[in-house]
Amino acid sequence: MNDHKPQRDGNDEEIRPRERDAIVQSLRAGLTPRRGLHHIQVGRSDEVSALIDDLDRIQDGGSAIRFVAGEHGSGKTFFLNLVRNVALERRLVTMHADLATDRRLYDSGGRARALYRELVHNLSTRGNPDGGALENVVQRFVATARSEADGAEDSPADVIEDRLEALTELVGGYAFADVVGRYWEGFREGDPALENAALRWLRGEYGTKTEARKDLGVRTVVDDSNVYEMLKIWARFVRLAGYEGLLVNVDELKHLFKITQPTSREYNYEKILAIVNDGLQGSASGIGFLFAATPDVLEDRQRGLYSHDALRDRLSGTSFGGDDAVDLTGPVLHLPTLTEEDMYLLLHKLRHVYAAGDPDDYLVPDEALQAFMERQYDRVGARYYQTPRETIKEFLGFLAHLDQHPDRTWEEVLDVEDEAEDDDSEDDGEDDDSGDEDEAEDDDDLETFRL
Amino acid sequence: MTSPTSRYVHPRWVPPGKPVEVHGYRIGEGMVYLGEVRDEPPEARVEASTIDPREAVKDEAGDEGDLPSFDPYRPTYEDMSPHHRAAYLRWLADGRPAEADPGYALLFLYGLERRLLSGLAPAEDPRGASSLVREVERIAQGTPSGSLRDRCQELARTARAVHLLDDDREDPLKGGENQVDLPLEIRLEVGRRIRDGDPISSETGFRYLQGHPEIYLREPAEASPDRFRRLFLHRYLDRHGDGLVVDDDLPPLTVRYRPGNPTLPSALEARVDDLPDAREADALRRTVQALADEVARDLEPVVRYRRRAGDAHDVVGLSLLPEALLQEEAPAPFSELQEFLSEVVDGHAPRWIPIDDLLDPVALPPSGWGPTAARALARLLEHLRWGFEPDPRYGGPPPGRGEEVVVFRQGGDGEAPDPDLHESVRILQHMGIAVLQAGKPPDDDVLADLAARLEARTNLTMAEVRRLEAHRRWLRERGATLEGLADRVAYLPRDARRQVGRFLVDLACQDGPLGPDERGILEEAYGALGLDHGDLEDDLWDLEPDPTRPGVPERDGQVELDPSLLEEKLKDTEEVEAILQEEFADEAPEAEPEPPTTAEGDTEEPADPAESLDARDRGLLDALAEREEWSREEVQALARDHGLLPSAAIERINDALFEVFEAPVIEGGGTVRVDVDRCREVLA
Repeated sequence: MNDHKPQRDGNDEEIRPRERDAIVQSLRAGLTPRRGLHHIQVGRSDEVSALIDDLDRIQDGGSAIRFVAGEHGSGKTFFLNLVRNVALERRLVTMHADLATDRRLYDSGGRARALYRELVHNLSTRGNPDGGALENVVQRFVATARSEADGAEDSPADVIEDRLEALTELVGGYAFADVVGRYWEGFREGDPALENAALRWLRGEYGTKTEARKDLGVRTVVDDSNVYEMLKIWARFVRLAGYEGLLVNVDELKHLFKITQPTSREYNYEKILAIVNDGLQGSASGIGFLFAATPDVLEDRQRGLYSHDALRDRLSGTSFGGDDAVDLTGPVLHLPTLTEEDMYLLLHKLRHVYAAGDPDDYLVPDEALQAFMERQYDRVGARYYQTPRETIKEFLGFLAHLDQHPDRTWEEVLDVEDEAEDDDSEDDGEDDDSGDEDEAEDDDDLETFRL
Repeated sequence: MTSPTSRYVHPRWVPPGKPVEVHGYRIGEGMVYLGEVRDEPPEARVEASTIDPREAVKDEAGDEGDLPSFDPYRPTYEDMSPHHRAAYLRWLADGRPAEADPGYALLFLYGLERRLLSGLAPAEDPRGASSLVREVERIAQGTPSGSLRDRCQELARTARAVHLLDDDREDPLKGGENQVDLPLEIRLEVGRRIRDGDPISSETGFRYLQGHPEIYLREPAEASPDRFRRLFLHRYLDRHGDGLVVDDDLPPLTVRYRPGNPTLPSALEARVDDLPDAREADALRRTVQALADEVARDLEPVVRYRRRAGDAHDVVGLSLLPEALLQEEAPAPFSELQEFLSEVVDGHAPRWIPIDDLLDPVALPPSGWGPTAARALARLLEHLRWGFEPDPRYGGPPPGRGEEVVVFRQGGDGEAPDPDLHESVRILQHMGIAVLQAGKPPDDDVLADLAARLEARTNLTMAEVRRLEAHRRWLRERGATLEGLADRVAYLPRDARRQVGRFLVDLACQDGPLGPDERGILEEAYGALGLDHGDLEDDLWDLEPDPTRPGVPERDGQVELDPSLLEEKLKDTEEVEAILQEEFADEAPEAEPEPPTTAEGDTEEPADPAESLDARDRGLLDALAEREEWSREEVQALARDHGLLPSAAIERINDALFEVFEAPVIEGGGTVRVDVDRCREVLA
């Protein structure tokens, strides 16, 4: 009853069942899938190409910096994840973190170190895409050195020392190299306490130099003052371990915008300026930064990044505010808000993914997609508050419902949902349980015009 | 008088309770070094307090004060005059009375010092050590000399630590310790608790806080120490119940002591292996520091206000008190207000109440009723989980005396609201009602619909939902105007203001085309939002239902797709698909970018990515494929057996098999999970 022959769809590629399940599950949970993002990416080929060029540059030992600016619901986080996934696929190491009230780029009370800890906590590789890959990367470095030592009939310790030499020209590099050396020592001697201490240091968990000196014999620790320097060291280190480079994604820049103390905000912008300068001048190597923010966080002359003259000089000049001409050469990349046409194509793609790429298995015809959108928008203010994430979740819920109730038509379901919504505005007519759960945990749509 | 005899050849320790006789004085309780001091190289001076029976004594009756003095700061038996030797022996024989010259007690103490810290291995003879420590404490309690008492206290504490004495006993010598470091008594107490896995109680936590040299206490801790202490203890109990349990991963306690005895080294150091050093308990220090900071921060306004207005329990003073202290310090107004509110407001429905009734149980500040007092009253009610509208803290006009306000029960969940979100929803509600009121007066259904949509789409706490309801009731009764809102929305970026405008247009158009009043209020709203007439016209064109206008949707929910734009987007999408497919394509091994020089061992790049694993990796995979779950330690051991670094090997295996399965086959931290089926598939 729900079978519908294909109408027009630009994608006849089959999707593996496992991939299909992973995509559907992630999206229904409101998360960005790890794999298969290309099955659901709508448009933005220019933006994606620009970022892929950035990754090329990082892989070539250069640097990159981008600010992804877009209104709430324009898909910034999705875009960041997409780039991260491409980076992992290209064997880069990635780190990501959201700025928060207790995580900043600059601070004197431990909040910059907290950001570092979060970044390292989320350190990912292709084999460990969900973070927690710190030890894997360190061991891979050691294993590579061991393998080289075997080949050259050299001692691994000497090879490790030689390779780490490259780090010592960077600020803080001596300590970093020492700590990695200690890790190897711990492994060689079967001393898990030493291995652990080294990993703790790399994770930024040492609060005092005394403690670090006692455990590891180093006089430097990761602290608020050297977070960016440490990231540069990481960039070099991951290349020594055989990876292609480091991509650092930082979301929610608005938390810098929200800092009430002007001086403190200024210091944070100074840090960004340092990163921008390094990125634009190419003085950092093998590292890329991707920041996400709403346009006002950049543009606001009172509190935004543009309140800092030097940053404004570096960043402005690209177009904002939905101008048609999109400048992809500057560091700011503007993501326009999704149009109804984008949403429509997205629903097409979701239908295609849900059917594992087989048009014969489409559960609904094209007109149902438009009807679904209309039902979504048929609410007070929904057109302005509904984010794509919610629409995706609800649409997949709608498909799942049809899938489980083959005796019902899509027209019936959409009508039933209208009635259900009158009864219970929180439910949004989602009949199956998982949909309800999803609904409850989301909904931050008013964020765009918080004061 | 007993003359020196050959019995005393070498100085030796006379244990407690063993009597000896010297020159006719019977020292009944021992505790001295006795023997002939000779043939010793000068640099290895024996104990300063050693009673050498060969040394002359001259026992003259008379007042001790008449005797020539001896060095009372660094006395030695040898250097004493025969008169003093006799007086010292008599003092010993008389049971060491407290009122004697402190020099005798000091000399005697030297012997105890040596015996406790140098002559006795730590914890070697706890019973012997304990009677000596008691003697030290007895001297401390009896002596009129402050410096002697300090010395005794330090010795007693050090010896207790070194000999692990009397774990459960209260230290009789509280206080008096040098505050440069965490007092030893706290180190001992906390150290014992950490060692035994016992929780650290709130009181102990507080003493740790006070004594730790690296914990900085902010000003309110000094300005209002009693409140600080009470609030600290309250929050500590609240957070940690019976107490905080601290992991014993600490270095052992090292006790340093500077003996007074000139014949001992100038500094002694003893490591107490059985006791962790509580000073190094960073987790504990950070926890109490964080709590102390929080408590000080919460007390800061209290301290500041009291400094200005004295300790008055007026509405402002009360409202600044943290909740935990409020009930303690002002039980009467607290319970009166609570009782009154519970009586007049039934259930959760908001109710109109004269503001004066709320003010009855509390005193007004010296400045009288005004915005400050109104804000304070709102804060005070919030402590009690109540609220009223209009709340001046949220931009409402301060209610005048004699006016009525809408009082509501917030509910007891106490979740912290998000002020930004609350403010934006509140403004939306305010403007929304103003717009709705311009058409036909909104009925309950329309308002409930507005409320449900605002609440359902935002993460408001129950307290905020109830506040919005009270606010709605107030607005409906008193009328919502747009006055004063311009300032509150001016801060928003233009895009956001435009969105608010469109929301309002959408709301106004719900019931059909606009009337002149609705259009008027929208113009006013757009003005307040800093948007111009053109913006309003654009939005009306998009949103206002007008069946006569061709191509304009009849309902808001109509979706009109632009075919040419759709075509363009489709093309763009196909392009991005191609780009990404190339990125995510299963790489043919030949085209694969050079993988990192991986493991121990080298392998040629075979056609099957799974075969890119070398023999050792495959060996490990084979072993892991035996079962689904392994502990981290087991995996480490297996990897070592195969000559591999565990994480690096897992990384390589996952990486190689990613091409096949597009997901890691080995995952996890503490417990490592293996996708056995896939591993076997590869190995087969």
